Amino acid sequence: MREKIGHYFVTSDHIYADDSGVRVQLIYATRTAELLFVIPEVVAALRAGDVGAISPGTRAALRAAQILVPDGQDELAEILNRNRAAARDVSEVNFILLPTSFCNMGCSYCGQEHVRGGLTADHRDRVRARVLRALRLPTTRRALVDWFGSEPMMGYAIIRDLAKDFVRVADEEGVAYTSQIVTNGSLLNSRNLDTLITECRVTRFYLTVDGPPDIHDVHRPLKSGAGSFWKIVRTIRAALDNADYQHVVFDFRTNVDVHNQDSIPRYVELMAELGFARPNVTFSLARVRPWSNDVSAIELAGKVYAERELGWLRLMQERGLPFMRMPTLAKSVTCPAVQATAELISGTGNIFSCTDHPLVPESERTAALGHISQDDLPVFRPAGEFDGWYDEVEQGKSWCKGCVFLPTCGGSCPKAWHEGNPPCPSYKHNFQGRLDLTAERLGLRPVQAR
Amino acid sequence: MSNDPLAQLRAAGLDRLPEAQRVVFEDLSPEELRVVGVIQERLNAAAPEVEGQQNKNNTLC
Repeated sequence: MREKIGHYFVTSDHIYADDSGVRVQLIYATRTAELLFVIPEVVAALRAGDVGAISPGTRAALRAAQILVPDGQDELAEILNRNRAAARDVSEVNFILLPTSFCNMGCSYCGQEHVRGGLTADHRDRVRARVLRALRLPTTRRALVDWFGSEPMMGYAIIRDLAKDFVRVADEEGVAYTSQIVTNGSLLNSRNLDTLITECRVTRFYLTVDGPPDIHDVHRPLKSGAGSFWKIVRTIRAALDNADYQHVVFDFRTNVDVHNQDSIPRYVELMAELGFARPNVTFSLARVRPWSNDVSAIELAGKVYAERELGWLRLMQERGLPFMRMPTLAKSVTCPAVQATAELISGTGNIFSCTDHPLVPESERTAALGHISQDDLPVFRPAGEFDGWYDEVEQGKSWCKGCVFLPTCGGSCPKAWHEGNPPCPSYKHNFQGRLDLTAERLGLRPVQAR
Repeated sequence: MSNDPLAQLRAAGLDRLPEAQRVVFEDLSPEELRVVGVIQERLNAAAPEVEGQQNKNNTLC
């Protein structure tokens, strides 16, 4: 079969070497999210379009990574069709649940409006029934339940009550059940953490810490006026020493804007000193972006952020803190908003497809796809604004159509595109630096080409 | 250094790969074999890479 050099890969600008004389270049295949270390002659051959100059073994590897593809293959169509199929796959159901509408923090960059109470009397039972119905579908093989906020731990009793039934029925039905929680972490303690892990089967905690204590406690203030940094950090640090929690991942996320950007190095140093360089910990940085609110006064420009981020990632690498240099999985489903079997149930009972919608006043008024109190809700949520996202990409309504990172990014955030704010991931702007970090991690350093 | 081009692959544990993957190495040039061996040894020695994708849910909260 004739083949061609595909579109979806990135080669390192640099050649890397070590003292033993090994010289390599990196190729990142975005359709498969695979990273290949090759001799520089391979990259030269790809750039020259001379596949015949590449050894048969490396050609096989390039084929497996979908860098060499069948001649005549429409790669964009392949990618979008793969994504469309994944977005319609009914074997996996995903519920993102807000067990409360309240948050005990008052972060200035948050676009949500938090209120106490507000759950209807039968809200919990209706959510339970809706999730259990999906778990019992003969087509369901995997279920993912995300506890989301507001601050989900304000509704801890509800999480515990609902998860008990979700786990039981999933086991009865032979459905693979996984759960994660997005939390500010301030209400976690050793007891409820253990319950979340052992009873509720939460295996991933997304915790937001915005800098060292003096910065975090101002950037993410508790409504009580107290600080939360040390409470969060001490609770999780203790959990890392529990041998029974080694399967649990703790992802520390930092939202970066003009106010805390200069403190990130100090934060990285502190977390390393505190012993967070553990295999089941990851660190991620993200620039503050609009959440249906105006953050223009504090938002960092994408390229400016990406340049600074690279320095912070380098420091993390030097201190041994784990982070994702680049995706290792292609992203066939961009986000829950494009997934037919994913839905978000707000603390108001409104059902959405997009995680940016709940508790945002305008969205709660205008963007709900249904309400948990409806007796005529279909098994899967009604169609939403973003279900045609891959068609939009194909039609060129974003610049994703020509982007080499489409297979790993998926367009990142359809809502942001609809609002006219291109949400490209930072790695699009600093990928060469990330390749440098990847090489340096293995003791390879950039050298001049011969 | 050994003259056996496969020595480094054995050192890196790559000779224990399934047959279908192992035969690929037979089609590499000697320089490529050396690079594969060196890189694999270093990957084995390094801490595990963080695998996966960025969180699909917006996690500002």
